[in-house]
Amino acid sequence: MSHQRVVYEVIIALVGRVLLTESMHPRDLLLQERLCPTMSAKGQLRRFENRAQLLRHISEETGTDIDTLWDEYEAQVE
Amino acid sequence: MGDDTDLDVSFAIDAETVSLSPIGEYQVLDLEGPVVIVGDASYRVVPVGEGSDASEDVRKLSVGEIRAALSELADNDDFQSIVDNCPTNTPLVYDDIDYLTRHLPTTSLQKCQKLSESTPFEKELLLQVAYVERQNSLVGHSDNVLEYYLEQRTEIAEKLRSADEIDSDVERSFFSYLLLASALIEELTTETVLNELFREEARLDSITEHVRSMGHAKRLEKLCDIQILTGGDHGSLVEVKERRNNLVHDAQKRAGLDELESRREVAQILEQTDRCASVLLTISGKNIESVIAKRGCEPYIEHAQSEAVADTITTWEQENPERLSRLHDCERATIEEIRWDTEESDPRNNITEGFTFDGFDDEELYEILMEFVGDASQAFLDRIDADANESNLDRFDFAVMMLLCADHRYEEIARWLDTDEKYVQRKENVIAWRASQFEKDLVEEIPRPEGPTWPSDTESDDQDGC
Repeated sequence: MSHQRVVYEVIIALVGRVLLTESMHPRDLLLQERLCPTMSAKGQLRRFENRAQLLRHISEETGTDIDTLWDEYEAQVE
Repeated sequence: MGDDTDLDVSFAIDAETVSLSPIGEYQVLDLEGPVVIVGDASYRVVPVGEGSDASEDVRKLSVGEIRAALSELADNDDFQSIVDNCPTNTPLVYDDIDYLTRHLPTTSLQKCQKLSESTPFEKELLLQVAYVERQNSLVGHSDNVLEYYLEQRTEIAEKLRSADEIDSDVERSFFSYLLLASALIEELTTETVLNELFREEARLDSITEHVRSMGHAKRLEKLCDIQILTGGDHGSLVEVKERRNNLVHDAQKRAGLDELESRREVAQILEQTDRCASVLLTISGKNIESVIAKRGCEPYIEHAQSEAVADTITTWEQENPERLSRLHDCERATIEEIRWDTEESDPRNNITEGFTFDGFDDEELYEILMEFVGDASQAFLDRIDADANESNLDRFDFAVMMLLCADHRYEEIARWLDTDEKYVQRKENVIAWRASQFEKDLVEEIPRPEGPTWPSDTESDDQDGC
């Protein structure tokens, strides 16, 4: 199985943030991320083509202000 | 042989507008839940109906335990087998797990259950991850080859323009180009055969293997049989295949580029090969956005431009707030209502709504407006891309539907989408009963196939065989 190896940062755990930096496969990243407490086993995986599409969707879904989401995005993205 | 003439090479694939989604750096963000960023695109799980909570047992795992389990999964053959049997897309209205458990063969589901017992992961989670893995492998492969192909195309074109004659440097570069072109064409051909001959519900791993083992010539023949490929394009694709085989298997021919003597001849081969790759990019659904943008039906264009303008305003509010304010403050502008004529190649000079130009002479504001519409037209293509991905139809059928709904003639649609008129007619039959509510909402009315469509006498005479 050919694996693309990537560098990542992932935030885990209910309390506090544990920062890991390691080369991992995207699947593993997703798997880890799906272990977040916010994860739901029910749903559809949806693809967004740009940041505005994504953040407008999240804002409509959760009611969170887009300015806040934009700042969060900026703060987290490498 | 020397050749001093100016060499103009024009390609069918526009490197600026072709949709490239190469495998990129993956990042995971927490934005009201997990989001995976891949290049410009992002993935997020969207709720369908009532959600269910994740297992408490899974949440209690330590980081060390998770990492150990992940390591085990990465090399697990059973897991890879589940991945190989996953579909590449699921219908919009269904929960992924509900769909996958009905889709996968019994043996794959049994492997999943077994794997769940031997790892800390619930079987539903394993299925979801396998599905993501399958999607990722599909998104990346041809797109990466396309990226390399375009780089190599640039290189050989530059060498050809700057060289006085065909030297060994040009020969090497051309050979590399031909190999990449062949790889891209073969990959896209396989994908198109799978899309056309094997509907999603039947596309298991054994089917994919079967298509791969058919051989490239057979796959091209099948695409010509069902008339998604025209007879002429089929012939050109066979020529590319034969040229590639000749150069690979015969060192003497390779050294002399199979008797191509002038730069002009090489340039013509480059253009023909690029045209073949372009056809496959279109009929595989990978390069349909610009055709839909120019020729799509009015209700859809209105929807997509409206969303694109909203996306652009969102972006400008963060990145260009001062310039956006200038537009908002201008009495001539109603930013949310800006629309443009999509049939023109440059949308910036064709604003049809949202701005009054009579007597307007503010050059600075004009520049801001042009920049805004430029960004909006890119967001417009992104929106078409997103809708095509979300559609219940595959991407090429989505494009055919959009053009059929605009009441274009079969022959026009066939020409713009690099396919045969017959194929468009057959798809009209299919779309009429397969389109979901998502597509119906986008176009308002799906065309009904009405009236017989016998071939004309001229058409029969001109028909190229496969």
